[in-house]
Amino acid sequence: MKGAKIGLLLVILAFGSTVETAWRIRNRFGPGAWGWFTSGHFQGPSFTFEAQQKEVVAASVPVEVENAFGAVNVSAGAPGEVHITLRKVVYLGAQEKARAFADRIQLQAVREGGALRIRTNRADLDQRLTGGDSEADFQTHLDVLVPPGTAVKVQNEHGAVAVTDVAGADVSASFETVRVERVAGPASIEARHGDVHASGIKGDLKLTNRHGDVTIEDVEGKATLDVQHGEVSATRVGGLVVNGAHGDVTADAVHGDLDVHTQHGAVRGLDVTGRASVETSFQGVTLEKVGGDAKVHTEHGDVSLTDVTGAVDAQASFDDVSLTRVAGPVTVAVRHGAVRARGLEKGARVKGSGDEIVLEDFRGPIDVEAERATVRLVPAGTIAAAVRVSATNGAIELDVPAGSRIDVQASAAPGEVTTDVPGLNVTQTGAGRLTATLGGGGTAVVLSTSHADVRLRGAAAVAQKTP
Amino acid sequence: MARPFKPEALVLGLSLIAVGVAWLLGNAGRIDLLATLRAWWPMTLVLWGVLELVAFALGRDERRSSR
Repeated sequence: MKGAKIGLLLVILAFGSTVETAWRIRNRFGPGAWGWFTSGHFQGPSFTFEAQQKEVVAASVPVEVENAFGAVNVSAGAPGEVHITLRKVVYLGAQEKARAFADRIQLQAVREGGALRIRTNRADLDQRLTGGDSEADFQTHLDVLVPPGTAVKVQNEHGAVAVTDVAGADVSASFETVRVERVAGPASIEARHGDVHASGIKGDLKLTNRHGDVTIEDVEGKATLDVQHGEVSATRVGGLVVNGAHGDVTADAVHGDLDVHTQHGAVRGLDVTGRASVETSFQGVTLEKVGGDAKVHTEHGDVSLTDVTGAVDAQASFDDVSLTRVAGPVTVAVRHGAVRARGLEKGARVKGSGDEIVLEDFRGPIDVEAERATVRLVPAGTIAAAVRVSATNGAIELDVPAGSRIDVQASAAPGEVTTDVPGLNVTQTGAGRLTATLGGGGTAVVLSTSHADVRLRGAAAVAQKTP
Repeated sequence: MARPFKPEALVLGLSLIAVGVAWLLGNAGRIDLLATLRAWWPMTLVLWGVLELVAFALGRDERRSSR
């Protein structure tokens, strides 16, 4: 590699490292000495001035607030009027100059399209927006009290947004946190670079965020989240849909269905009353107490499902699948990982490779296809449904409880078939082959493997191993 | 004889343009400069890699045609 290439590579990596370091410093300590790099505005001496305005409005007139630099707070006030407080923060060295500039910052409350629109005349004063040089940096912070039962729309660029006790909320914000609480109807939030917190939403919640964590609580309707880079935490929601890319998803107490489609994020779902459908990669999936079916697909991550009332369909690769107490039928496909299950009530179809397959305390039909994997089966009681295992390069071990009525066909080529089941009536035997009946026969048990052995274990051995 | 295609010169030029435009938009208050740079700086490596492949392909074609 030429020197020029090495030099350019080092320059790019040094630049990237500087940007990453600056990003971490800003997130941890604020702009500080990096202000010149992280935008550099709103620094130095500042003076604050306040203006208030009241607007009489009819009932149920929606209120729309637009702001660019500064916080917006909207909450419920007195009926029949909208009370607006504008706090102007002007960054100038002298108070008189700042006051003169602040006097030019005007609050605008106009009725347009059946709504009351509140904004400032920033566009006339901030020449930076049109490529010029502004006379002064200034922030406009708006506190708005709206009549109870008012639907609110907020659009802000650089400033935190808080909306509480309104009939409906439609919030769009860019670079600060968004907080929406106690909304009597639906809520829609579109954020870009900041954390979002939403709670007490009576209707549906629709939320998108590009960079930042999302926390939602007590959403009675369905919550639909699109979060690209951030962690998601949802508690007590009436249904949850999450589309994400980078970040973990945690859902607790979902009163409806759970749908998660993400990448590079672990998913944890607890107490889901409906069905659960999860798709992710490079991280694991954990679901506990699912009232309906559970469908999970992950690449390079483990799957752990516990107390599922419905059916389970699990696909994973390069990690293990663990199932505990599943009431419905189970379908599992794993590449390069183990399958360990306990308490399957309606049987299982399992396809696995690369590690062991262990099914304990199961009932119902079992169909296992294993490649380079040992298979161990321990039924919960007498074998009353068909058991079929087809393996290559892996041993098969089946515990046969007393009282089972089965027809056994076992083969191991090359390999051995051994049994210590009391009362087993062997009808045909040969090199690596065994045909037998137990209790007069009835349920088919077909076990075949290659390059490994098959072993049928009797009740005594079962009792010894599983007390 | 034509000068050989040098990806690093193109990468450097395009990167300077991109950083300049981002800085300009940042100063105009249209974007968050740091967030934008942080999201997009790895694209420089991707771009460079693509141009290196293009340069490799062009060089191979020239070698074939010169035989």
